[in-house]
Amino acid sequence: MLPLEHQPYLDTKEGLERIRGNKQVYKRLLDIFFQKNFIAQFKDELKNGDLSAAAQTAHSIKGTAGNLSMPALYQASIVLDKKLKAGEVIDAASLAEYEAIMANTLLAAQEALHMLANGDEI
Amino acid sequence: MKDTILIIDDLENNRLILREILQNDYIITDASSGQEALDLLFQGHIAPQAILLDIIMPGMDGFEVLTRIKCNWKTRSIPVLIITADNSEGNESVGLKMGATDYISRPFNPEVVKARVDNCIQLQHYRLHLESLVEQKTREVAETHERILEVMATIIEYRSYESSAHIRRTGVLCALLIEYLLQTPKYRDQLENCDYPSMIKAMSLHDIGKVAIPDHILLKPGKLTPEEFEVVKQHTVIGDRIIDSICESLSDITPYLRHCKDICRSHHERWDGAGYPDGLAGEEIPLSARILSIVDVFDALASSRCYKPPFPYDYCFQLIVEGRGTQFDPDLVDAVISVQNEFKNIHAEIVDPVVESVPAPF
Repeated sequence: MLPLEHQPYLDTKEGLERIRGNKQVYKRLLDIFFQKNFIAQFKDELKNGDLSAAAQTAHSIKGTAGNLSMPALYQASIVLDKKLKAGEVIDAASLAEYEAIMANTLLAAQEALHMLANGDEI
Repeated sequence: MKDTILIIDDLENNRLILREILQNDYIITDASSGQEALDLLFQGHIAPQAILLDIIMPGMDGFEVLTRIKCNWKTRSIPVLIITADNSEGNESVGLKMGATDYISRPFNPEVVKARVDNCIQLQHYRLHLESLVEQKTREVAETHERILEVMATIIEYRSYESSAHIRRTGVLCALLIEYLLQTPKYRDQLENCDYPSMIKAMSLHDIGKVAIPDHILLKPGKLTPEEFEVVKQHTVIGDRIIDSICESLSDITPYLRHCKDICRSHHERWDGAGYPDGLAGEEIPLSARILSIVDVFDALASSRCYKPPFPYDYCFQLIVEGRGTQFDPDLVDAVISVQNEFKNIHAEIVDPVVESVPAPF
């Protein structure tokens, strides 16, 4: 497996294969991912000290990122999920890193949505 | 028709992906929480052939949903596939121990998901098919037993002229009396709890033990010697033994066979304990046998026998009342008196065949 910093943000080929190439459904899955605004929710929960809710959200992000083939976000979420389950504190640096990965993943997803809207091959 | 699959997952994305993987072959229903799924299942809105269940969900988690599904008799046989993350520590083995059939891991591999669900559904169909086969065979065995017993009852009919209409009449009279007793608070629950329709069916077998009584005693006109009477008394125990030999091949005695045994053995017992073969008294005597006893005596009194002419109905009922609390259950005597007009009509309707038309057995 590639180290975290070399993982791609979005593997559209694998993601589409999972749903048998149905672009309509792929678009809907990405839309839902956008609407969720997971990262804001996650940060709120950390700020409020609600660690069990934060763990649940990290778990949801992990599941979604895995199924949408977002390898960087998926790997980062596994690390975070483990830390939270072990009761470890998430320091500001790792949170910032996680936020950056999420932002880049969202950018890649947005690009894919544009291409889908224009009827381009992705 | 396509089978139905219920997907339980709190994340819409996961539900959509599973739906996409499976919807060509199955009808997909989904629920976004454990409670929503249980409501759908327990209220009978859906009866899926398989359930895909996410383990980590907010609120009620998948393990609790699994436990509730496996504790409910309506849903316990539905196979459940749990959905786990590929790095979940031991959730698979916990779920499998709790009764899950299989698991699928996230991120989903569509081929694996499809193959595991297909396998699960095939096994479920195979299991249901076997269950219905066993059920059908069990029913056939029970029906065969009933038929054998009915045939034996018919053999008794052929052996003694008096029995042929007597067996049919006692069946109908017992049914009438039981219908009346079902309206009374004292006997309603008791009858409803003991499968009374099978009790009615069993009534016609009460004299099945008479197959073993020699013709010269069974058909003797006039009074029996004490020795001969001892032989006749044996028909109760012999009848019970005949039913026993059928029960031997069964792991569980059916209510029908239970009633057959009770009726054969105890229909000559008396309320005061002076009857035979066991000298049971009062409510020790099974209700079925108490009912048959009073009906059997009424029919013998009102019909002609090789040793007596038919008695007028009023005299028959007078004799029944005289046996209240000695020979018969007092409540049953009162019940018979309440339906005496119907008793008369039924007795007059089902008549004995003309003796000449039956070939003499000796």
